[in-house]
Parts: sequence; structure tokens; C-alpha cells
Amino acid sequence: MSLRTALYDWHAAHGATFVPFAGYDMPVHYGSIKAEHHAVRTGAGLFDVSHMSNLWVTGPNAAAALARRTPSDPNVVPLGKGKYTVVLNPDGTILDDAFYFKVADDRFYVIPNAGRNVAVGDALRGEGAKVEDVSSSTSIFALQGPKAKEILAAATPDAAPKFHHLVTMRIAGVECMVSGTGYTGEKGVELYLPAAQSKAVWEHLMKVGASANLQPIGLGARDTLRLEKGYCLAGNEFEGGRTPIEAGLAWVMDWNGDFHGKSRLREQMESGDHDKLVGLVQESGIPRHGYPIQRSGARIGQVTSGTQSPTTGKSIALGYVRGAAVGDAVEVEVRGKPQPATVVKTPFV
Amino acid sequence: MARADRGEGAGLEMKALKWRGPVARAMSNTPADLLYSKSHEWVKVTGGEALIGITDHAQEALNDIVYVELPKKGETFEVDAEFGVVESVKSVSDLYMPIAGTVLDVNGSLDESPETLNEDPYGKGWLIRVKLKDPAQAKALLSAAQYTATLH
Repeated sequence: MSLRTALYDWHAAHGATFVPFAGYDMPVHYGSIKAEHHAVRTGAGLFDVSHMSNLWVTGPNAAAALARRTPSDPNVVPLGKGKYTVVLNPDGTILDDAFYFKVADDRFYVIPNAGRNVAVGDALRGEGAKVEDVSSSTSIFALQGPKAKEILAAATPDAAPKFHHLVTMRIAGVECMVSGTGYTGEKGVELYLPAAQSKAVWEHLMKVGASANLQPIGLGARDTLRLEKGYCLAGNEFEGGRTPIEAGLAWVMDWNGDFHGKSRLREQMESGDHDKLVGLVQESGIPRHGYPIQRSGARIGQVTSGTQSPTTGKSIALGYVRGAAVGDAVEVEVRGKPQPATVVKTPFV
Repeated sequence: MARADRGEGAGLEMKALKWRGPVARAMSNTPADLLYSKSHEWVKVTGGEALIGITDHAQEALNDIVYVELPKKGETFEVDAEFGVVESVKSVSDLYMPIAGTVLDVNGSLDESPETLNEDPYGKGWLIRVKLKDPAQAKALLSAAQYTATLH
């Protein structure tokens, strides 16, 4: 039996098609992935991403546990601010990527991916932190797009969070934690609130957002929106034991800490001799997960995510390659036929 | 059509043709004068020839179609052979021959406007016209009512 978010019936009543994802039945679209994609790029969209995880990581060892399991220093993160990072396995490969917010010196709100709550919780508990898993009682909504800010302002008089900060806002009578974060590359916020009261908040946002043409958005557009911005999706880009150096996440690394896998990661960083996650654009055919990447007939890697960009109409992909750099010509094998592609910098749009 | 797709994360398969959408979605258009395959192709037989496309249910389940790959004129396919590919934003689906034949014509306009498959699957969104190997094979296809019954 699949899990359902608190908004399942609302989604069904508004034309959602559901797909199973990480144990949940989630809306993949409400009619058109492309239309939802454009709505977020040009106006605003509301996503129910309650399948994502929520952990309270607390106690005197909370900061130290995060410093061991992520290549970051929670002590230098200002109170009320968040940090995008990766949760590392002991060998330095990525267990998950996550945002954590510093609510107090000994109290952090951690948002792992869907279905990663147990693994990430266990990892932090193993380093001596207290971990409370509130994933199943918490809803998460993402309000994203150029009009997200004005919709939030219409929904509540409370002050909105600054970029990557976390604040409390009362919306439709419900106390919500709200962060200035997202997964679309657009301006916006993410809201964390009690699942039991979340329908009132969702409906209030849809109502006040109606004049700005706020649309509900499914996982389909969530995926194309993040891919256009070159953001990693844990199940795709981290599959098979990838390190943050390979995944192009060297920018999240704070090398001062004593985190798991540090020496291996530093070695990798210094040698440069490793697979690298790159962007690809392709004129013909659509690259998809698992398609081989070649150069001059020799295999050099494979696609991890690919689609036709709804914004540009071009085929775009992320993939791991060995020994190819931005500007290089490669081929992506689409159903047995090598199609010319170019390694590019991300974001794609 | 068969599914071979990939969505948000390792766990997300679109399963577009086995979606569990709301009841309203089940009321897709299934013209009574066509024949159907379980793999969601339609066939319009006229004498020794047939026009082949995908059903309204299929286009709706696939969602926004962005790419169609069709065979060349003169290619011959047996029943159930893969004759092309339809890609939506998030999925790749093979097309299977509902009836054996040789391709007489392909709908080239789908190269430029694949969205026609969403907009008019039984009309401007036809895929190929074939010369039938054995028109009697049509007897093995489903009626509109039989096809609709497979959707529930």
C-alpha cells in the first residue's frame, strides 16, 4: 500500500495523474508537464513535496554530527540560516543531498530526500546526535516562480525569509516554517507544516494565488525545472556511489572540517583523475538516463538525466564522463545510434 | 506501446499506461469504427490497406509528446514488431505493429509538430499507412468496447 500525502484527495479532485515514488503515490502532472513547467518559469506554481523527509537533529552533539557527516561547519552557519550540503558515507560517497537549517546552536532542521529519512537519521544518530524523524507528520510545499513572492505576501502579513533563511510564518491560521529555498531555479519558498493542518494552507495559497494564475505542479515539471538548472537529483546523479567531487559539488565543500572520506575526496580533487558530471546539449534525439556517452567510438560515460528542455526545445542531459571538458564534442548513443552532443556548462537556461 | 522510461529518481516510473488517475481520465475517446491493439495502437482498415496510430488514452497517459520516430516507406513489419518510438517529456515508448504490413506512407508532419499526436490522435496524428500482408489478421484486433475494457 502506497503512502499518500495529506493533499492526495485534493490532487485527485484537480485532475492529477499519480505515480509511485519513494513509497508515495505522488502527482506527476495535472494535465500537462510542459504547461506546468512554463507556469513556474513565467508565473508561479505550488508543489506538494511532502514525500521529502524532515529530521530534527538536536543535542550537544548535533553540530559535531553534522560536521562529521557533511563537508560543512555548522558552527559558522548563522542562526536562522540554511546550508545546502551532502550527507557522506564513510567512504566519501554521497548518501544523500540535503539542506539543513540552524534553528539554535544545538538544534538543526534537516531536509533529506524522499525515502532517505531513515538512512540519514541513522547516520547522524551514529555520530551522537539526537534525531527526531517527523517526516510522516509534516507536509512540505514549494511555492516557486517569479510571482511566488507576491502570492506569499498576499497570503500572510508575516515577513518572508531571505534567501536560504528559515522563518516562522502564520498562514491561514497555521504556523509554518518557511525557507527561502527551492529546486526550480526561480525565486520562491518552501513551507514545512503539520500535515494535519496542511490542506487549509494549500487551499489558502491557491485561493490568494488565483489572480496571479498560481498552478499546482507535479513531479514531472519538478524534474524538468531542476534539470534545466543542472541541479542533481539524488536517485539519478548520485546513484552507484558518487562523490561530491565527481558530482560537481566541490563548491559545497568546507575543507576545514574532519568529515568522513576527507582524505579520499582531497586526493580525488587534487588528482583530477575521476568521472565528472557535465551538461550535454544535443541537436538530434533525446538523451535519457543510462544512455552511453562516447567519443570517437570509445565509451567515456553515461547519461544520468535527460529530456527535451521545455524552455529551449533542445535536448539536454546530465551525465558522467571521463576526460571530456566543456566545449568538447561527444556522442550520446540513442537506441544504438550515436548522436552528436556538446559538453556545456550548466545551467542550461 | 511498451514502457521504458525514467522519471524523478530511481523509484519513479511513469507507468503512464497504467496510471491511476481520477475517474474523469478514463473517459478517453475510443471511436467505434476503429480497431485496437492491447498495446494502445488503433487501426483503420480500408480494403487491403490500413492507417495506424496511437489511441487517445495513450496520448493522454504519455502526456506532452515531444518526439516521434517512424519507419521508412517500404519497410515491412510483422505483428508485434517495433516500428517506431514516441517520446514525451518524461518517457520513451516503443510502438508495436498491431497488424503485419509494408509501410506505404509515414506522417512526416510529426517531425515538426509531434504535439499533433496529443491534439488529434485519430486524425492529423496518424502515424503510418501500410499495405496489409493479410487483411484477415484484422480479426485478431480488439473492438472499441473490448479495448475500453482493457483500460480498467
